[in-house]
Amino acid sequence: MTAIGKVSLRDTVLQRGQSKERSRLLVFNHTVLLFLTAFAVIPLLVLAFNSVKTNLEIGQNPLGPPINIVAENFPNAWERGNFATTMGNSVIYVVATIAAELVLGGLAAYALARKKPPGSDLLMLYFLVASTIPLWMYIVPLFVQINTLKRVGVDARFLLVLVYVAGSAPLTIFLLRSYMLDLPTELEDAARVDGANEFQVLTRIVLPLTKPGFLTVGLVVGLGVWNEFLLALTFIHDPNQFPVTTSFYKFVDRFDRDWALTSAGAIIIIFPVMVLFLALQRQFIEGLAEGGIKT
Amino acid sequence: MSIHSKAVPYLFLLPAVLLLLIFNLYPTVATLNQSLHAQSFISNKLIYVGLENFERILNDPIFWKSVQVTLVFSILVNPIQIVLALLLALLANQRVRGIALFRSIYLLPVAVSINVTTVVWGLMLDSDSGLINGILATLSLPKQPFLTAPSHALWSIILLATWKGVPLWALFFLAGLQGIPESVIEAAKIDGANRRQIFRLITLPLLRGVLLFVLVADTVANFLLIAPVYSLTQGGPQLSTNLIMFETYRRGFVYNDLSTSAAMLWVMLIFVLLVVLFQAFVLRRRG
Repeated sequence: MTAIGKVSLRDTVLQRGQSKERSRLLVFNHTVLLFLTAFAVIPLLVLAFNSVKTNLEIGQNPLGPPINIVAENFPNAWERGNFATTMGNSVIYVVATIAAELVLGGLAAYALARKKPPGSDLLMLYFLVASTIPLWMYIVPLFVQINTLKRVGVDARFLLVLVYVAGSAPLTIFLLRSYMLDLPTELEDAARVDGANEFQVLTRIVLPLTKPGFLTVGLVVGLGVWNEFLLALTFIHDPNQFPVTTSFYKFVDRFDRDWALTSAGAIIIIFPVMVLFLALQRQFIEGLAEGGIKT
Repeated sequence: MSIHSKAVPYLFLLPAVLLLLIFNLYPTVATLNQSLHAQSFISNKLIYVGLENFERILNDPIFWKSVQVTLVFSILVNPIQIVLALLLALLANQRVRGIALFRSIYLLPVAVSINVTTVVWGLMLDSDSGLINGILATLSLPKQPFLTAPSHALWSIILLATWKGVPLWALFFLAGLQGIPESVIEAAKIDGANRRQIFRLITLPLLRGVLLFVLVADTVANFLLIAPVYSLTQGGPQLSTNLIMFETYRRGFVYNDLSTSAAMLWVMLIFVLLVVLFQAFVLRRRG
């Protein structure tokens, strides 16, 4: 009886304290949420506003909402940025890189997570180091290398994709390996007993179960390629093969920047990614959660 | 059969290893080789100079200034980003009405490329017509030279990096938070733990893996940041934003001294590795 009384007394005290704490916390939370949301969204809002103003209006009213909406900025930016070409190119680079990355990374990660052949630890160490090496570190020798290969007749676009795949491979293999380590091995063993070979185990069992992981890696890698600029400009010299990021610089000349078209162009570049990102958001977060971080 | 199955893992690893060998390991080693050579003015050939390039850097006050700027930048930007990202993730992980919309909104900067980010923030931070100075003016505060004063420029780069970085790292934290089973939190509540205790004793320890990953990845990413410096400040004013990464770019591509640039990159890489290993060591020991 006394024990029960004690507990209930403690509970009421706790609850009273908690509810006060709770309402204070709620105000705090909402203030912080509001502030962070504003911080995230205001620059993009300014961009969206400017994308439908004339340059004259941007000069007089660089940040506020537009007075007259000038929708022509978008077709003009599309035309001058040559987006019809660059967007197609970027889609090709993104899709090719993701596909190659997932196949290559998936195979390697599976070997490292499940087979652990002699030398695995050394390889993992190399991947860890490689993922911290900046591109600047080796862009010059890479440039020489790529030029040699181009002279032999290898397609520049193919080489660009290979460089992208190699660049993100260490981190991809790391992430995919940790997803696979989380999987119980029983299913795979059962499949093997039923006569499946290693490739079938990977494609029929492991792959479907680690789909969120592959999705995450695909999205991160794809985002990186879509926004990549430096490598593309270093290795691609034919304007018909330029990626979408190069269009963004079509609105600047030596002395001036066309702000209206720059803003419209930026929106054109961001828009497809944002739609895709928002559509995949839920799965993306789940993918990250299941990966965990195992080293 | 046994020979076959022994070869399989290597076969699976082959494409990735081959690609990394050609497009990552080889050029990296080539850079090391370059750092031990100097370009001859006459024949355009490389002459072996041993560690001379490294010696020259270590005696160069501009290099040391950029080391100092990079250190100050790292010490400020990494904790700011990680604390804000964790806070954002904790808030976004609550079951409050409208939280899904909020998540979608704060995620938007993740999708924006660094080039676009730089242009937008250049507009926001402009000394005369920028948004932030506009807000300061309405509050009757003095205008600030965000990108043109040595005391302000580095903070502006930090602001920009934070805008783009925080949502990305918050995403990883959020994923980690969602991996924590509800039952553990409930059990702690029944035992009378308050929110602060739950965070310190349960949430934080269970986020250690994610925290390590974010800490390392964020540190590395900020070491490599170059685009905003390139387009907004060019390392100035008075070298106040001359991060090491930008200094190596300048040496290599503006002054065409690739050997010194390569040597500088090696010094930086070793430094980054030491920092990353130190972080890993400290976090491992704590747990």
